[in-house]
Amino acid sequence: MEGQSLVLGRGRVVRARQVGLAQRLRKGWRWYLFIAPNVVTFLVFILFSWVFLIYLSFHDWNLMGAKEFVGLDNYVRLAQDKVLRKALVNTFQYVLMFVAPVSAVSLGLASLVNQRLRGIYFFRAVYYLPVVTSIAVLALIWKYILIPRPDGIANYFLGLVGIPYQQWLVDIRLALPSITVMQIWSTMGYYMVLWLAGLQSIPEELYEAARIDGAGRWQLFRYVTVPMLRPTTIFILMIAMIGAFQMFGPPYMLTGGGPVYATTTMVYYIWLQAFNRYRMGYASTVSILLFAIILVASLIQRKYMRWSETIF
Amino acid sequence: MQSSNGRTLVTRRALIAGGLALGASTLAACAGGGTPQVVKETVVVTQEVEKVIKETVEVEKVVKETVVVEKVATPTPSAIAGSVKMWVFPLTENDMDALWNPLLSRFASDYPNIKVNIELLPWGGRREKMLTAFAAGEAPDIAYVNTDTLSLFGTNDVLLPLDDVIPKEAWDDLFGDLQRGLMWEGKRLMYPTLLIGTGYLYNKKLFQEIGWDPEKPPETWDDIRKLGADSKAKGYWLTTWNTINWGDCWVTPLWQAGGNVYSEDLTKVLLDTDPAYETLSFIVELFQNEWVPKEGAVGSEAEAQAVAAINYWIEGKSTLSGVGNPNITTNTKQQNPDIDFGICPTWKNKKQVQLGGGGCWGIFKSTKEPEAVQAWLLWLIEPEQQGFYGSVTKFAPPRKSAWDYWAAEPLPKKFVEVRLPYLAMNQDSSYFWQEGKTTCAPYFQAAVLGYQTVEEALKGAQQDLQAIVDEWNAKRKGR
Repeated sequence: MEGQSLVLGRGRVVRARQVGLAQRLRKGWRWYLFIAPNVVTFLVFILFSWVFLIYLSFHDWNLMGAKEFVGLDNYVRLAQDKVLRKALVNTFQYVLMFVAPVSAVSLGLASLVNQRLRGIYFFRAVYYLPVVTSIAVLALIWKYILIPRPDGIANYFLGLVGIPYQQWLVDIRLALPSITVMQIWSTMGYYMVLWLAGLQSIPEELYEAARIDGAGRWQLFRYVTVPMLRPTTIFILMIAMIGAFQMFGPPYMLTGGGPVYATTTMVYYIWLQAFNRYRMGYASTVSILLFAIILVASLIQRKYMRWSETIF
Repeated sequence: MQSSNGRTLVTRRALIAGGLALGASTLAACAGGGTPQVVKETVVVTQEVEKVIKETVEVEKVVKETVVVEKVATPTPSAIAGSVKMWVFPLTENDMDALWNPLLSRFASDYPNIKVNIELLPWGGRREKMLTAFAAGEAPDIAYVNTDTLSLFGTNDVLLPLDDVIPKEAWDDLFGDLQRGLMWEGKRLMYPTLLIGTGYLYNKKLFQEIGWDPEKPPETWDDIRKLGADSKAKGYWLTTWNTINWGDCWVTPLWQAGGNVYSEDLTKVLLDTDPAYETLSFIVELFQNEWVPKEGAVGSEAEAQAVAAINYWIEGKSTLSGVGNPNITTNTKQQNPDIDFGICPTWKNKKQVQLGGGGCWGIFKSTKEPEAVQAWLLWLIEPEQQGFYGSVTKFAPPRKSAWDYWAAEPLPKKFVEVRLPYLAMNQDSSYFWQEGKTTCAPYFQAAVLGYQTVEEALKGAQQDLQAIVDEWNAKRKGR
């Protein structure tokens, strides 16, 4: 078709495309039925929401009253909002603290549970358990663990190795790292399962061939496992990063964004604006900013990790 | 008919209409069961009488006569039909079986043609659910609403004013000045179903241990300070304190110090005042002397609604309980029967006062079944029903007459009785509640954790909250 467009006039190209589409529809309408649910879902829940989000960002709306057109007011507020700046910084810090550690820890865990040992399924289930545990329960458990006194559980273990007790969630410097540790612990089971799937898809013959060539355990990992896990790695880094940019549960359940905004993230701030200050338009504007940030970060990742060469 | 000064007492139209009404009411009475057709006619006549009377009412006698006519003409329960969707939030472990099913079955025998669908929703995200339901055009007909949403609902004109729906005697039957917290621009938009009057218990055994008379609970802020120091000296906490608990941990102590959060006309935030300074200084004192656990400085609203991670009171590690509703007495008995406790009076500083409030019912204007939903509400707030509601939920009924039906245990009842004379509501309890809480909490945290002085924290809170109030007032003027 592209080749045709070089030799045909513009109108004939369009007509040719239309004929092509009609032919395709006539021939393959049954197959389009199969993708119809996804297309409809996309149109209703993604595309419509997106258009509505953009529309709302130019309005003032509290969900109950009439929508009032405010032009670029929400975008001006965005530029002047000092709490939003703090939320932005917190979110980036969290992404940096979360993505690499959770990927590494869950890979280690996946390697451990990828053994043919008695009772290994039990351990896999145990490590996965926090993933399916409600954030409300996790928050209460971690509030207990992170008591800011010497008798707190975390502080007790620090005391065993001679480290003075910490204030954890009531310390501006430690609150976000504390939440990060909690999040790594509670989500590593999910990433473990992904790594495990990747590990188990590596053909055993490759390891056998490498062993015949004299490879040791490190060489097997470095020259067989790591390259073969590349698609999984890219996928995990991508979803971990997107998930980290959207972190909401712990500030909502555990800290209320405090102390002094130390754990206020972008999504928590969006929620606060939408359902506490009833500024749906402004919340939409912040959501657009967050989308732009995630898009740019994903494109950067795509460029440097060369997705297309490995996955598609 | 004319009075001696020549003014018209009753017009001819009124007399004719009154006669018609009387005739119609007699017909209705003769009909016994009150068929819908007869009632329909009666209503029409009543409206005519009301219209005429509005033009000519000057004599008390006439008003009395119309009241009689109105009562006779009210549609009988069996004549009202419809379906009502009601949103409620759980107050017991099994609200449907313990509370709503018995109420619904009683209601069904009184009003066989009204179907009430109770939708029991979790507390978490209740405002989000309400707002999004509105946006989707799926709002309930009636819902449990707290006064913290009054300004939101009032601004958007979504709640039906209840002044004309609920009879005067039911309003007059409410305790204290609760009505002040239900008013939006002179109209009452909610009717309370439960009384919120929180307070503290004290542990008599620990009192003895720290050298306090177990029959003399603390009353003043100075008593609290002394109790805090004595408790700490013996290794106990005074109580727990949460910077996100706007009502009990800010508004009440501020009122006790003689202040308010907002001016009465809702144009000024009053956090740059002496009472606010005194209050925040007191709270800072609680934290910095380690009379209360530091983890209370940081918390979320969701967490405050959930079970506390550590309950020092139940573990017998604090001399005062955390602040709680009347059911704190029964919960304590159930969770640690060994605690011998007494009930603290409302604390006193410049004033002895306590934030009152109520879980309320509100009817949404979007209802398609106004007659049915009003009948349901009027039935639900009857003293007998309200007393039953309080008996099951262990919250006190806000109507005085409902107390005759309130089968409460002695302790929760005493807990409320001790507080009743001091319960109050005003603009602070109904306006900018959520906004105030989340705007000020970071500043309160900065003060209690030592990142800011009390003056700096209050200055910041004042500035940010005033901006919200100004924005709201600007929009209000623009409407």
